[in-house]
Amino acid sequence: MLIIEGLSKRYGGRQGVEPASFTLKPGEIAGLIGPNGAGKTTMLRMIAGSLQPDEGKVSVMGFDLRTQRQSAQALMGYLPEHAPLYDDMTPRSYIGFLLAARGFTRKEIAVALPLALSRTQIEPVADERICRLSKGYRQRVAFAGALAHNPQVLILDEPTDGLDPLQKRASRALIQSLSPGRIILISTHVLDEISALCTRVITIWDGHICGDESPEALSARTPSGRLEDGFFALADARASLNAAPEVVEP
Amino acid sequence: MRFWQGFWAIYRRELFQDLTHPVAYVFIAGFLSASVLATFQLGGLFEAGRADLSSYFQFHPWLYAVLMPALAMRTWSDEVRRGTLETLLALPVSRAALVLAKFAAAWTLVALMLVLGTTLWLGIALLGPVDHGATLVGFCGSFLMAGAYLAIGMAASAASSSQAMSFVIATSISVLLTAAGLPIVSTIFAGLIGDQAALMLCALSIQDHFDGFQRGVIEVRAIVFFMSLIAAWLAVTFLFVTNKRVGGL
Repeated sequence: MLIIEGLSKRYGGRQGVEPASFTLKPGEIAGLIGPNGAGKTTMLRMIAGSLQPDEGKVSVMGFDLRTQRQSAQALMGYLPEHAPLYDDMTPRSYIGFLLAARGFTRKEIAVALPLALSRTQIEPVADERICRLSKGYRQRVAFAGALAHNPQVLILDEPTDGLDPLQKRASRALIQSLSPGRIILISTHVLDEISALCTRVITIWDGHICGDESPEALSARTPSGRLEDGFFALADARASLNAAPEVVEP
Repeated sequence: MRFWQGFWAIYRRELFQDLTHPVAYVFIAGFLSASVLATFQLGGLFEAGRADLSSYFQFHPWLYAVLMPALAMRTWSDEVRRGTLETLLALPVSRAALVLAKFAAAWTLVALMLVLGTTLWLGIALLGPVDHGATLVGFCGSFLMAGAYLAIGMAASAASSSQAMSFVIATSISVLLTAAGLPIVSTIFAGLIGDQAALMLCALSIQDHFDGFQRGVIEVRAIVFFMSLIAAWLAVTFLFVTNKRVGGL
């Protein structure tokens, strides 16, 4: 179980993420959707442990991220936004480095590394320097780094960013194949991705979670039955809430 | 166990990065040529008529005050610029292992640089009888002192996401700590901050603590001083890295 309880973050005087709570169970693929700047990446960073929340708690399979950080992080795989990589390394050496840092032995790396390379279809470029790779390959190398250690929780920030349609299809198939027994949390603003992949949609707007439902329930919010329209309906509701005059006590 | 696994993985990666980057070779060549030039031109090695390397070591503090910040400036600010710090912080590796591994890798490069510098030792040994023990102490002291400058540079790199800014900060602190023992500097400080404060600042002089090593004398006081300086600045680095986790990303 991935349990998020009252997780919040402020940047200076601005609220990055308002206290948010939700629970994800193994087998679920949850999509975190919202416009740019809504707080999706901040939320994922806090869950991955690369950003300390101001308040709240993250529990990964029973391990508290604050007090048992290393045990919790050992169970998670994280693909950060824009796929940051070491350009001077090759995909093989990069994934090998991540596995070694996670405490894998040479024998274990010899098993896990080829599997990660083949799952993400980067074997042809495994020994090329990362700086020479296309954006699509870079994205897949970062993805391979996130899943190489076979994590129970996968946190993916824009996993199909920069991929062509064929690569997107392959990545989505891979995410779906990884789903049984795992918790997958994906941040995206591509609604197609939600309908293609997710069993649950968490909508975040101005750092506030304003919806947590199945894609079907979100689609059913409007008569058209389209996911896009359901999302816009939530957006409009949020916008009218922001525009409403404050109630002043007499 | 997990501490060392993370430490070694990051140490190897950092060392690999340093050794495959042309900047490292420019840095080593810069140190070797500047130190040899200073030894012969400013130190007057031949004019002294003695086969010892004290004139070689006497310029090390000043060279390190500039070169170590240059070596250290990329360590953290580059990770922030590339976004890879986020990947590192999401690994189940302790922050202490992360800081120590990066420091150890850079310090290893300094060791390599000093090993290459021993060619001068061999050259002088051909000219006359050299006190090998004293020279070895000089090299060990220089290595220890370089670690202190490196730790200052790493703290500055962790404090700023700009390499130029971290270089300026680290060089300023390094030059201040190097010059603190000079009589003219202590006089200026005494006028500015009072005699007691100036005395305390002068007690932190890197140059003064290196003097013993330069003459081939092992001083426990100096070893403790340099180790404390390294520990203190690495602790500052640790705090900055933890702070980046808090809100700097």
